[in-house]
Amino acid sequence: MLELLKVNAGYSNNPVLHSISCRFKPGKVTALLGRNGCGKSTLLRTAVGLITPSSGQVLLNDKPLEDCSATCRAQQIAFLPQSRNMPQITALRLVQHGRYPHMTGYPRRLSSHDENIALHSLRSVGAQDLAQYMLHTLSGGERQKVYLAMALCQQAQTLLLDEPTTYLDACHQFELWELCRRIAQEGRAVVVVTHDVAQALTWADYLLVLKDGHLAAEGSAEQVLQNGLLESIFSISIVRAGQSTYAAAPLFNETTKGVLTHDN
Amino acid sequence: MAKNKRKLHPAVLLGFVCLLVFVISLVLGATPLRLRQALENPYSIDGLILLHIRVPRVLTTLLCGAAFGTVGALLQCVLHNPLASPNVLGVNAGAGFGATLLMAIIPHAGMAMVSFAAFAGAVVACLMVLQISRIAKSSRLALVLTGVALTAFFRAGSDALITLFPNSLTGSSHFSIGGAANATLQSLIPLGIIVPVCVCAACLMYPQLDLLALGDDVAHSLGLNPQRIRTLALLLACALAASGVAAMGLIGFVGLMAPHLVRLWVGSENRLLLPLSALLGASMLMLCDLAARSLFSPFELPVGVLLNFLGAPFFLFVLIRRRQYA
Repeated sequence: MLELLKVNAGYSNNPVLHSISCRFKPGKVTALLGRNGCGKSTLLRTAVGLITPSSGQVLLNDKPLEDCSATCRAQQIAFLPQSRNMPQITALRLVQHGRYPHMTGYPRRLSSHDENIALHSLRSVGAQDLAQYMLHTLSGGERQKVYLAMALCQQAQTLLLDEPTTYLDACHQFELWELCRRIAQEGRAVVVVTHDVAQALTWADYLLVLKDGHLAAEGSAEQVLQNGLLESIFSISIVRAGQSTYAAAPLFNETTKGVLTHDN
Repeated sequence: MAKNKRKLHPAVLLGFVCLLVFVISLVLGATPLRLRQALENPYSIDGLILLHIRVPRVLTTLLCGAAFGTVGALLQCVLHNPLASPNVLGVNAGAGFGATLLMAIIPHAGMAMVSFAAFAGAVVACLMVLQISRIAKSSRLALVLTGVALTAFFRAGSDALITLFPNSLTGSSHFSIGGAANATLQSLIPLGIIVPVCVCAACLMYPQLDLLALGDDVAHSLGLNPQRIRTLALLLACALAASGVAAMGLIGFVGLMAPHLVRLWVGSENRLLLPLSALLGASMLMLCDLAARSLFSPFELPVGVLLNFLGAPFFLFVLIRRRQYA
């Protein structure tokens, strides 16, 4: 399990995270919420070891993350960053790169087992038909799915996804949340950074709400909504639109309440 | 009945082309050679021309072409920039300045010393490119403009040295234009060691370079140390660029054209891209050198001039073709 203990972190002279303590529980989809620039991506980057905390600790299975080898870390944590490169390779080849931490020796050839996992990952995001397409010929949404398949192919215990719903249309966004739930049901921890409050409340099992680099609230949708903090942070109104279904609308326009409804 | 057609492996095909161009380059020139006679009697005129003029010259162009082709592929991969090549980024100019500085201080320096000075110049240029592009947020245009500024700076430095030390640097104009007319069997030795070793080392790094092409964050997530691989790749690129520049002077555009053409053919997987860029770079430079010494025979056009005529439009083609990714 991946855990942050009183972590302070940031970029050179710009501290972003302040005394963050949280754990990403296996079997749960955790949504990371907060306004732009509050430190959501920084938190994920710190959790995967891209940023070294100035104080506090990141623990992976109760061991400090810096004590784990790069391969061991990559077998345990998969991270899908917000912005990515677009090499001229096929979708399948990109997904196969996800097997890198599991390949040993030189030149790290794919076994038939690795190839099967790559194909299975593509199928699970519904992108099996894209396997032989060159990455740069795909649409933004298709590319997003393929990158997600690569992260799945890593078969890590913890999956950190930084705004994975970007570029996806509404239908595919719901498919992605469903996929996150399926992965979590396999006993893995899935962490999703999102700006869509209603989707996060509807689909996530656990929410972490950041405000100015501090952990402002955490818990289930019910718990997070109780004190009205979420509404004040985002300046929105949140209403229950059904059982475990939420809708969000801007505070300044009461008539638009319920527009962004997501049925579960 | 349908025939079962076997596709020839690109490396075999390009290897054959490279061998063919090598043999043609040995035979053709200002004085056409009778190869059989030259091989049968090494002390005949044909034999002497073959051993002391053609072999050093053609092998030098082959090795330098392979070096520049590999450097281009390496730089484009580690800097995530299709416009990166040793001459565009100022790495060649840095190597040239290092070599010129040494020749000004020690006029009779050996090839190995000149190569080392060129390496130092290339490393300085490479570090400056990296640092400046980091400050400028690594945008593609910023990287190219950094290269333009560095090239101007190092060329100005070399020109200043040539003006101040005219007697020590009599062959400098040949050096700045680029060519293999002065190649000897002795000058082949450092080139013959450094280039094959560095090209092989670069080719062996293909799995790591493939991950690096996905971006630093993704590569890190997959268990790679991007900084370590980038440093190693840049050191190899500097060693190759420096060897090429020390042997042939400021040759431009092979490092840009070869990887691009290979990428159009086989895609950007480094397992094929790196060795094929080396083979195509070698074939291109040998062919250009052959054209340079045959087109206006008995006069010889410096190969650097010919390459600039071909390379500049190609650079613009890449710039326009890639605008959608900028």
